[in-house]
Amino acid sequence: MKLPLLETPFTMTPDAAARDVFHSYSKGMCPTCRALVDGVRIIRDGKVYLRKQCPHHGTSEALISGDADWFLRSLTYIKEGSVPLKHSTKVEEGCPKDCGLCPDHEQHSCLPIIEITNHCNLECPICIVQNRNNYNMSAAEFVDTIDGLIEKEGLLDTVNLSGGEPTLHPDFLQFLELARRPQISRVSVSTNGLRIASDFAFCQELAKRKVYVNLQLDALRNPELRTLRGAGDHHAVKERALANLERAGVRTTIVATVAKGVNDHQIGDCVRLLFERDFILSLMFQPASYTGYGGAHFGPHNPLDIITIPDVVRAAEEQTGGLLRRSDFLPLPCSHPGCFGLTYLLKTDDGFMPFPRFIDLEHYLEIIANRGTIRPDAGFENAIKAAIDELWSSSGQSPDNDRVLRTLRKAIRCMYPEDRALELEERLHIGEGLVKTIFIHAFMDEHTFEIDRIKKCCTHYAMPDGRLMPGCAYNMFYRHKDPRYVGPVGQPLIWGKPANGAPDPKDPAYS
Amino acid sequence: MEASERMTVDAPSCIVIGGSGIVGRTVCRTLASRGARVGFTFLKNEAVAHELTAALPGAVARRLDVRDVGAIDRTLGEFVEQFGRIDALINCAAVGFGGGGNGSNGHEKMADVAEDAWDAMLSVNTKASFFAVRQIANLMRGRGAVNVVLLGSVDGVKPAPAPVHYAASKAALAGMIKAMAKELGPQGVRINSVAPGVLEGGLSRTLPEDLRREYLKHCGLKRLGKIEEVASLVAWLATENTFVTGQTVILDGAL
Amino acid sequence: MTATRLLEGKVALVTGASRGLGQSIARVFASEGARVAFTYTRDEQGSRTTLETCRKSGDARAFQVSVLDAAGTETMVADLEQNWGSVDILVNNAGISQNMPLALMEEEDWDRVMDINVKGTFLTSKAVLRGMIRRKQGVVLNIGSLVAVRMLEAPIHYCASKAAIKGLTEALAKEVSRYGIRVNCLAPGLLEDGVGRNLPEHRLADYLKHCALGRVGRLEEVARLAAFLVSDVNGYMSGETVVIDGGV
Repeated sequence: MKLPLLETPFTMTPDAAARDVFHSYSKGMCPTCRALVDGVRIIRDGKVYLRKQCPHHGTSEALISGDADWFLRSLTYIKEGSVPLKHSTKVEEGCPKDCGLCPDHEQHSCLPIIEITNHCNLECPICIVQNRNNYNMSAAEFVDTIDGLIEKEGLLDTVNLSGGEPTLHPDFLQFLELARRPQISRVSVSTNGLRIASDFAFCQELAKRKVYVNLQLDALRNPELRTLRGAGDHHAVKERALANLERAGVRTTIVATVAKGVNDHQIGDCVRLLFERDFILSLMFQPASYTGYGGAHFGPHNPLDIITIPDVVRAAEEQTGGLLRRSDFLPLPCSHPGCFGLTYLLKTDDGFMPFPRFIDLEHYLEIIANRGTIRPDAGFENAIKAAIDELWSSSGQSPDNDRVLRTLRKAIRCMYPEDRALELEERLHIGEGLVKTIFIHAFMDEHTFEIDRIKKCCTHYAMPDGRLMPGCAYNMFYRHKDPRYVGPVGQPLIWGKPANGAPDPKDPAYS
Repeated sequence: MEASERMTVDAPSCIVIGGSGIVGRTVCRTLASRGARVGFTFLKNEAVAHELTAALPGAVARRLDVRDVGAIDRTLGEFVEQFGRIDALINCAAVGFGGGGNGSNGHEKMADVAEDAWDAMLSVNTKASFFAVRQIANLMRGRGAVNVVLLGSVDGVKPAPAPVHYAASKAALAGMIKAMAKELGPQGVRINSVAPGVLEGGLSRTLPEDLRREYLKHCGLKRLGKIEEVASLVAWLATENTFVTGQTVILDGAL
Repeated sequence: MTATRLLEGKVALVTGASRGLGQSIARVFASEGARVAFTYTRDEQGSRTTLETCRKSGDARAFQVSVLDAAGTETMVADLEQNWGSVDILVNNAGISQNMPLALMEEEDWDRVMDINVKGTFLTSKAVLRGMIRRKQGVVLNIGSLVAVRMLEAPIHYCASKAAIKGLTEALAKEVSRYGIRVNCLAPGLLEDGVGRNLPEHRLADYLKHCALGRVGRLEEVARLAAFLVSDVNGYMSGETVVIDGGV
């Protein structure tokens, strides 16, 4: 007997806004004193809230999911976590005080991040870290970090270089060389695009090394961009950056931070950008989290009214006129369902077809597995073969089926040419040209922090001493005491904001 | 070097069990003509054994009754010790029709085959090969690649009128070498079988006339096989082969 | 001690020899004393390489003709018989495969694989056997595949074509062996640089796991077996399919 996930009498009635339905116990943070406190998850008015009790500062509440139905369904996609090859720390004080990873952590590093600098040339109001502008990683530290990662993980799908603004690092290109290891499949760089917009030769260097660029791009218009990123003609910079990346042939991801009431109505525009430009492989939405610099400066925000993963999904459906549907998106099963959502899209002759529409759920989950990226291994082959046979033989034949089958046939012919052998790398590249992804990655702040989410975190900051720090735990508990950043705060050069405070008319940033 | 690589090229050391037999002696000669050093066994045919040791440089003869497993082990051990290493083991010792115990020289029907005739047929044709291969694999483990060639027959791999126990003994070889190939492959032992049709001067001497006529009628090349042709294939598989294993190769002129 | 060369004084015709197994066969045959003629379709550079290598051992000629071009094939055979005297050995090697599941396999895919692999063998064999029957001598070697004798996961049209080659070999052997012409089939397993060159990594790993010798075959060792099979000392083998697969 299958129970409904949501009891409509309790959550969908006219007086649902007044009803609190207890779902589960949780452990979160008091936003005032940042102590770990007990909390409960409650369903109210079709949404999920975290209510916490601090012995000193009383009750606080935060919205953790804008759609109770999505939330409850997502909890059914649980997958066993993978264990890293080695742990750096032991359990002593309990989560999250022993990060490194401790043996109590439930997931390996899918997405390791190396912050190679804390210098930045923007002062984004929404920034989740607090850059002190006083540290550049040394080459030795970088190599140590890479070695530590390989020791813990064995084989790495992706290593992400971040910061501050990583392209400011004086030895950036050398670091790309140092990251070239047989155990590392790809290197990505998260950047605001300023250097990319003005330095085409640099883009060529990136293309030559097959680096993936994650370009920050929250909106297609300046008003929204300025609210999130500060003064300056950000739109022009983004356009130039995109143009340079396209011309140089750099594999690009767009990363959009989505803040309630700021650019949440531009979600559809970002999706269209992804669809229209061939060289953009994927789009990552990051619902805003209010910690670090942004936590202190971006204000005010109402923790009961923020963007969560299902809100992005709903907006994607509404703002694309149904090109995307809510049902196309799924939580990523391997991390905590509250942290990731995604969909894969197949490029057919007439438009993009989300995978969940033509692959049954079980096989789809098999494909995205423990990594979120597609690899052509036995599991993938089985899943695709099953999908092909299912589509072909199913009794309800639709033109959609044919579209997909035609595309897959073309893909097979490209990936397995008769006359020559392709390297795996080439085949993956062809595959990339036929598939786009939309990710939604939600970070936590002091309001939304939950211990169970941090335990399953797979996005880790890699340290030179070999420790791996789950992202949100590092941001809130460890960053401020990182010994590498100790010392006087450096004087940054902020683009769009000249040293004396007055706008420079000759600066192309101003239009 | 990988175990599956052939080690010696110019002067392989080969053991031919039943080297004094009609096929065996031709195999010895063919091997020697390609520069191989041959060690062979004989049972009753001492005269041929002397002839061979005189004619073939470096050839060594030992008496061996293949019905004696212990003797197989000892004899192979002695050869390996003497030659230092073995590149090929070939088994030509077999009994054919009329090998049964009751002295019949005809084409036995099942009713004519007594239990001891069955046992004798299997013992020589199949059991001996098993223990010979087992012993050579043992002696040569970790010391390099070995090619093993067993002499089978088209009887047992193609449906043909033949004494059932003879066909069974030859068919068993076909299955046995597949499993042997799997087990011994990683060690570098490649094992195959050659299955000839009817040969001039071989066991065909005892083939009834009507069967001989039928054979020629259905044989594409319309003739009996020559022993040299069998020996050529055996020699290739023994000294040139690097990748064929588990196979029964048929030489029957398109039967 | 060098043995006499296996194919001394013979004329051999190999189809599809601009690369892969065909090229290796041409090269080995030439080094065994044969004069080698071969065909190619598009790969000019490959065919030049084959020609150069064969010419190191003796006479060699390249013909740009598709196995599906019956008229062109007959012209080539006439040319060889006129200038080199006869075609003693024919190796039907030209063949392709295509990675495609049933659901996506179109009629044109089926036709292409079956035509090149099977009809091509038929057309070339017919053109060459005419002279062989007249001369009452000759050898034909068809390149099949392990997939024809064993149940393996491989594209269905490729398997069908190779199984057809096995049947063709046996029937042809029956028909022409009475003239002393031998027809056999060589069935290799996976080879380096063969039609299985785009096999996904996990499939290759699984195959090797079940291969007694633990590796794919080398072109040269298959070519050496081919040379033996077509040589005169192998005079009693006809209608046979010889598998060279390392014990799969």
